[in-house]
Amino acid sequence: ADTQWTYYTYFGANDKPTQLHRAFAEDVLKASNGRLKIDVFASGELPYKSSDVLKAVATAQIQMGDAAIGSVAGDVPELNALSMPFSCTSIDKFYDKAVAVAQPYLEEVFEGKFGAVPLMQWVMPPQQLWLREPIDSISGLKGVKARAWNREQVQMMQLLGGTGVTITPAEVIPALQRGVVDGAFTAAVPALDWKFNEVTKFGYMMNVTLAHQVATVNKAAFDALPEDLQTLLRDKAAEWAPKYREAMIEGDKSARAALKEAGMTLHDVTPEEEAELRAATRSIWDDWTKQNGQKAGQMLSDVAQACE
Amino acid sequence: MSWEIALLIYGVIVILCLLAGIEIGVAMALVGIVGVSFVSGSQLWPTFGDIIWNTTNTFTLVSIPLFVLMGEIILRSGLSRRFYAGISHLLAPFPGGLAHSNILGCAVFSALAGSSMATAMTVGTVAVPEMRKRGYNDALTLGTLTGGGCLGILIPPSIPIIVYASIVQESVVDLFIAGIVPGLLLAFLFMVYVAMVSLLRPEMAPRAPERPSMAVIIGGLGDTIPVALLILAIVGGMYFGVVTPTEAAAFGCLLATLVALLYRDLTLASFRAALRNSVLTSCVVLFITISAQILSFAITTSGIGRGIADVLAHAGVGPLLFFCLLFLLYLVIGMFLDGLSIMLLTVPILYPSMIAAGFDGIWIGIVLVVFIELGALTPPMGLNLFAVKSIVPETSLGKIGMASLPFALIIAGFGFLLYAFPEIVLFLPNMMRAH
Amino acid sequence: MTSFARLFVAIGKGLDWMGEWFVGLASLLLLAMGILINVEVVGRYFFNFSTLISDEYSGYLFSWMTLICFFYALRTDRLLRVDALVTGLRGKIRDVLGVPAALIGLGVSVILTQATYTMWHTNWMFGSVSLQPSQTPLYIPQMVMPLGFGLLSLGYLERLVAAVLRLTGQLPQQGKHPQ
Ligand code: NA
Ligand code: NA
Repeated sequence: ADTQWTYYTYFGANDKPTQLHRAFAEDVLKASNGRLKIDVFASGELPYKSSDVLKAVATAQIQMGDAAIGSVAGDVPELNALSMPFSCTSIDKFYDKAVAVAQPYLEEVFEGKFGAVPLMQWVMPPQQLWLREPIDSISGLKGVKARAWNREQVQMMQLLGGTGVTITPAEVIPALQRGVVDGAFTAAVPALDWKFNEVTKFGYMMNVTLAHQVATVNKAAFDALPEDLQTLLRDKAAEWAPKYREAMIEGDKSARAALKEAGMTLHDVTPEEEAELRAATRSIWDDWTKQNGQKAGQMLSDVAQACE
Repeated sequence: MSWEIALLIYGVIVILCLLAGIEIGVAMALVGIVGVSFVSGSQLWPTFGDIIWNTTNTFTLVSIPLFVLMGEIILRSGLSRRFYAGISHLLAPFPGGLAHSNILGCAVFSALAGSSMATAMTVGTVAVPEMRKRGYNDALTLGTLTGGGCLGILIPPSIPIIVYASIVQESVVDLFIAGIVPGLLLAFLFMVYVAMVSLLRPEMAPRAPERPSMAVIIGGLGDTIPVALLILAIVGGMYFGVVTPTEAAAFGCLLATLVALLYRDLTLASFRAALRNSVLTSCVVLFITISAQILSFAITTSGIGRGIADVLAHAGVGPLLFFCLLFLLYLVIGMFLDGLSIMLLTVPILYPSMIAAGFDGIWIGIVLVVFIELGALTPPMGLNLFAVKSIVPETSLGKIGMASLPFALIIAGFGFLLYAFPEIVLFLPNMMRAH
Repeated sequence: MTSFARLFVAIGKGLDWMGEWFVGLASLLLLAMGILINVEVVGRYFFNFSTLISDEYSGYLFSWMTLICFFYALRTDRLLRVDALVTGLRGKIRDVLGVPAALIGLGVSVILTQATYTMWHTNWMFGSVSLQPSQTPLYIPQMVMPLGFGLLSLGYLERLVAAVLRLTGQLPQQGKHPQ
């Protein structure tokens, strides 16, 4: 190959996103007649954590990275709009409307500050709350200790009368099993992968947030490609976005079915409950906007509107 | 450069450095730096920063100083002296006496600790001075500690098992349950060995001079109570959802301090010495771990990991021969890498071919843990050897390695036992699942 | 002894003191870590309260307490090595071998100092903060990495100079310190 890139994803070697990245890379290799070879490295194959991805691309340690905005929010707090509770709760609406709305905001920060090209946006299925004991209404969350992995989830639990607790990722399962915490946030697919059905009984399907992902390329590496390869790469990204969309929707659906099959009760929130949750957690948006400025607030309201 | 040549060059550099008396950590980091530079010049050097930061921030390591501190407090407050005085009366009738208590102690602390180093160090700090005082031969004492420490990652909780589960997405709970029977069986095999050695070579493990009276035995039981209560409280704390396994270390320090204060045995000076020793022990461990991570980065970037895995995956042999190849592979890798690196490097590549060979996912996890244990006992990179060396700095690594050899052989044999009788691993999780 | 050798010995005494000081500081950090985690446990279990920093800051404290002790560990010869062959050698040969060994140690620790400094600088430049609720600016806890490896480089430099001074007869051959 004329050009060889390293593409890092913090997902595991056998995870669906990694398989998609690999298939994408293979397609690019074929379509470029072997001129652009993208080697995909999964979690553990390179020493980066999910929070390192954008910086590693910016400093050209890797040419391409799969950045989760929620995980690199330490670098780009102003782009973290989708981590605000209930800002966007549907994968379809994200792809139909929000992607186009978010793109200019991403480009400005990625290219301006990090010398990185946001090549393709995609989302992981929505975050849910998994509980050891069932609840029958939102007020049932009072006094509940839930493992949260970011500030917004902690704030949300506090606003709903519960407690957000931080526990290192690897201890979440034993903590749920033994009741150190009453529940934990994650999406249905990882919940199934980690066999939450063995340690929790109830899925409170709130669709809190979608994890906003950006496949990003180091700008210098991108610019060094011949014109036709740049075009090819952009075309391929556009061609693959729907495949990611389909795979994530399908994955979410089958994970939910499998969790039910395994004996869990999944409660989808009613429109009334969703409205109540939105209202109760609205102050998180305001706090975040206050902290991250006008432009961030603009992105949040644009994206939220697109997802309505 | 092909991966075979890279492997040869790296091997030669490591061996030369070690012979020249260069620190093991420095030797591994040097090979890591050289390896990465071969592939991409100095462009990837900043990545060493990521490696170092991510290593020092792993939960797997954070609990080490606290578990060592707990052991140190137990040791320096005299609680351990009581415990050993007590248990020695109880174990006196058995050939091997206190050496058994090392194995038992390790098995018990394994239920607290997630890593074999923490297990070996906690029991070791307590055991070595007591056993030396009673005239036990170091070759037996140190071996029971490096070997016994291996139980730490087989009996749950276990950090490598958590890592394995996260890579292949098997159930952590199933894997934890699957580790219990093999862990206890391995402890039993160790004790059989200790008993045999003590019978054949009585000078290794002096018997207590006379049979203790009933009163002495009861008094001895009383002396074991504080430590037994401590362990019960910590295990109970985890079982009843008060603490996570990492937190259990800090919780244990608090309880140990309280018990020691209750016995009025802990002075400020000894508490400070305990803190100081824990910090320095952890520092030595971390230096090696960071270097091992840098080395494994080089092994990834130069394709050695994938190269070896490919050879194995395409060998096209029957299950027994395949298992033998796996065993040999892990034996060699285990000489140079630490357990977590081994898991992270090999599992993503080898797991599919192992499943294709017809092995069960849970069983593979436990067998890999056994292989990793073997690696922890084999020089030059044997973490359990280093752990025990940090307790007995004046003893050479070679001597500790020789003391560990019989236990390494037992573990190797145990791996094949699990191959012949996979039910040892699988029957308990299957039974639990049936319920 | 030449005046340079005398100065070197005097500096060595200062470094002894500095190493002790760092170990003392590290002990306090370990104590702080134990207290922090127990506050989290008690708060969560009895009062539905979480510090929200206990796991994150335990990691930072661990980095600090271990990295600032590298220097002391090196100077007191605690860092593990295979010494079977070297202890068999006598005097001059040992010092001849000591020069490249110290050079390698120095080279490795300088590269790692530079790498960790680059990482620290990147996070400083991008203003990166931690993901956890505390949103701690990462450059603060990460300062310890270049510090720890910088100190380690200093330790190897001292070894190098000592080996050269012994080779040139400016320090007695079997000087106990530095090792
Ligand atoms: Na364990
Ligand atoms: Na080994």
